[in-house]
Amino acid sequence: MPILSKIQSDARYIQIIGQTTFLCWGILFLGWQEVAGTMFIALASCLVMQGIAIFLGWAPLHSLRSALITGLGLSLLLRVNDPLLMMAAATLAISQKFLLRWKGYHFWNPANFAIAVLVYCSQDAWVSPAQWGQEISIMVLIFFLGVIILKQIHRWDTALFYMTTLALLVVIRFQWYLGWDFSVSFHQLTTGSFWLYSLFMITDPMSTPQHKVARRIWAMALAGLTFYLQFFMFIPTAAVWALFVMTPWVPLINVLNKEKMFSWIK
Amino acid sequence: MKNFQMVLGMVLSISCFHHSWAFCGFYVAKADATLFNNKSEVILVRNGTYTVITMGSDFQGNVKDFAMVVPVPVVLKQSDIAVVDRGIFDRLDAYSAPRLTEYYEENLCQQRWIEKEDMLAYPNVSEASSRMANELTEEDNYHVTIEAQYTVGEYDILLLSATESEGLKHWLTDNGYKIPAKAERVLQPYIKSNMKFFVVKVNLNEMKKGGFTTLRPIQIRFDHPKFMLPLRLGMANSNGTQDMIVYAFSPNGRVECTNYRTVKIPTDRKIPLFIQHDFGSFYKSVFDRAYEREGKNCVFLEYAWNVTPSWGGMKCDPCVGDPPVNQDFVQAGVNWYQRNTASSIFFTRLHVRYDQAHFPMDLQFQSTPNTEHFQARYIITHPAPVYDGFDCEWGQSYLVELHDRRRLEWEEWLALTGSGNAARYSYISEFDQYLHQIPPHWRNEIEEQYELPTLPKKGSIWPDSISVEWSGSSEGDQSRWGWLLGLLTFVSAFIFFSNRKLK
Repeated sequence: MPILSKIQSDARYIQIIGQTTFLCWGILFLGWQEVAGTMFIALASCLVMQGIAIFLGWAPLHSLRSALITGLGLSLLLRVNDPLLMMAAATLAISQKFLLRWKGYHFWNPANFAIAVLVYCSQDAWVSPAQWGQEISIMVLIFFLGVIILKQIHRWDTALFYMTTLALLVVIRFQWYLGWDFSVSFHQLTTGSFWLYSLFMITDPMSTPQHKVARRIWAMALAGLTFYLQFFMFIPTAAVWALFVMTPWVPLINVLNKEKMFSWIK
Repeated sequence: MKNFQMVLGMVLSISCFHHSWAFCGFYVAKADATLFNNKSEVILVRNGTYTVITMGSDFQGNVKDFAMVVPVPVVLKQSDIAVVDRGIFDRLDAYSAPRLTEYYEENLCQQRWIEKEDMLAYPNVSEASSRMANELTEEDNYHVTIEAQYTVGEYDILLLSATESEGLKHWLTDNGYKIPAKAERVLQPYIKSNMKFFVVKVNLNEMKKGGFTTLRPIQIRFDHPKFMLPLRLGMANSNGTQDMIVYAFSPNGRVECTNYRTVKIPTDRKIPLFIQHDFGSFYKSVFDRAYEREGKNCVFLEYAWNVTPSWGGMKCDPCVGDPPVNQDFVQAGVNWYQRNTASSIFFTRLHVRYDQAHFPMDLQFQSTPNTEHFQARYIITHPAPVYDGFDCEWGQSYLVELHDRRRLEWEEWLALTGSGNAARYSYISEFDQYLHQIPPHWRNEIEEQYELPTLPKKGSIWPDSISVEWSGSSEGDQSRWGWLLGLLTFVSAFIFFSNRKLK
């Protein structure tokens, strides 16, 4: 099957298929009617911005795939009052990749950067951490697609170390220290947002350390920070802020380790 | 039919002119909070980290038995505790309750003045819930510290902190508070999280002095990043479900739950005319079904609107009660609007039905900038009056339209409530007697007894309603398929194109 081998040539295809599925799921079954109107703005703006960068010779043609992933990521996570803000988010996300660079590395995951900046600076953007609910079927879907992609790009360890650390911290605090029954820990660890973020957002190979050990420590530190922000600072969208704080260190870690930059194309 | 719609539009705009409502329909009934048994009501005000919680009590027993234990994040000062008038809850409930609106159609075969029906009453269902406590005496050695002790209005209030749940439980039991057997396990996590306990009982002397006959709501305010409502303590001794209505106010936009999905209750549905006599129980069934369908672990949005007094836009559409006024906001604890009248107030009404199995965690919230307006609204349409029949050409095509529309309304009713009544099927063909000729596409329908459609039950992935796709009463739902198809085409085209380019 030629189409299969082509999809296998770049993990981003499965990522695109996966995120599109989640988006369809949300619109169909979780009542995200308002997303239906803004998603095309996000997708088109991301592609146009990336197109400009390609035209200027700053990026290869296949980087359009990354731009589409950013657009899908924004549609999945960011909620806005004004569709223009979605355009702003897409512009911010893509342009920061090219404008804020150091030794070939960009500092932030594009979608995460745009979400953090807009939620912090604008009065009209927000993230709904409970939008996925506790539906088991979507989590199974997220899990399988996530595992396929992470296996392909050899980044399964980022998700594993992040999720295990966070799960351990949650169980230690809620079950062992506070004395809640297990259902409380279970509830927190079975939200769709947690799974989606762990498997699809933080694992971006461009904004995680290339060195294996460094990456695992980094993932654990990220989990620790997320845990602290969520349960001690009471920030419901802790994962967004933790990633925003942790990714700028990645270029430094990579340069110190003299690692080669990640390449999507095999 | 186009002609008819134009005339209908005109008739409605005339009725709008006569009544100052912006929405061209009439409010006839509402499904207020009294419909639900075992319900509690809470007003939640949040501005930054400043929180005001007003707890409405529907306590039915002897007031001397009333007692309440609420975990709070800080030790409250006396000025942080107030007793407010029960009326605020009734006003907020009346204003934000799900509503039924009605349209009238005109018989264009013989134009006469439209006579409008009176507004209809809605049924009340009584509710009951109870908590028990007796007398309190001073004692120690329980590892319990009385941080503060006040008498506010008719209530004696204690703020306790404890180091172990065993001691707290014994202290409460020994002081006459009847603590549920399983409560100890739930008290422990609150103690460990450094929460304090706000303990309330009624001071009978003060109550007599004040001349109050019912318990008034208690209001507490504090400054803490935690934005939550503790449910677990209340569930310790209850196996059934409890309903809670949350009236939330924030300066930016909607308040939503951050650890359970916030779901919009089905709205803007055209439903059969006969519902007008029983709107209360209709809405109750709609809620029951939505609750089942969404997996019993959701918070439902029933109302969300900008209610800033100085804001010029329409406050409700249509209004089922007077919009809250400045005095209501002051009473609810909204403190920013009085300081800065350029600021705004956003009102969110949430309805949650919770039980131990599906709500293991306390409800946590966030105040979002989401300013999209929402209300639970259902629409009934009065058919054109018969007068001397529908003999003109318009009348005949109107009757066909009416029959088809009523079938959709009937199916919508089935889909929304999940419990159909085949006996009501005559509603659809009520006006068929005036038809000169039965349209061919009805033949099968009439000959074969109409069968109740099989409805998706628990945890169904099909949203809202099976008939909504046909009746088009919800635009968002209808356009959903178009958007999805667009997205799938877009992404497939992208993958295909991108592949070829790179080869």
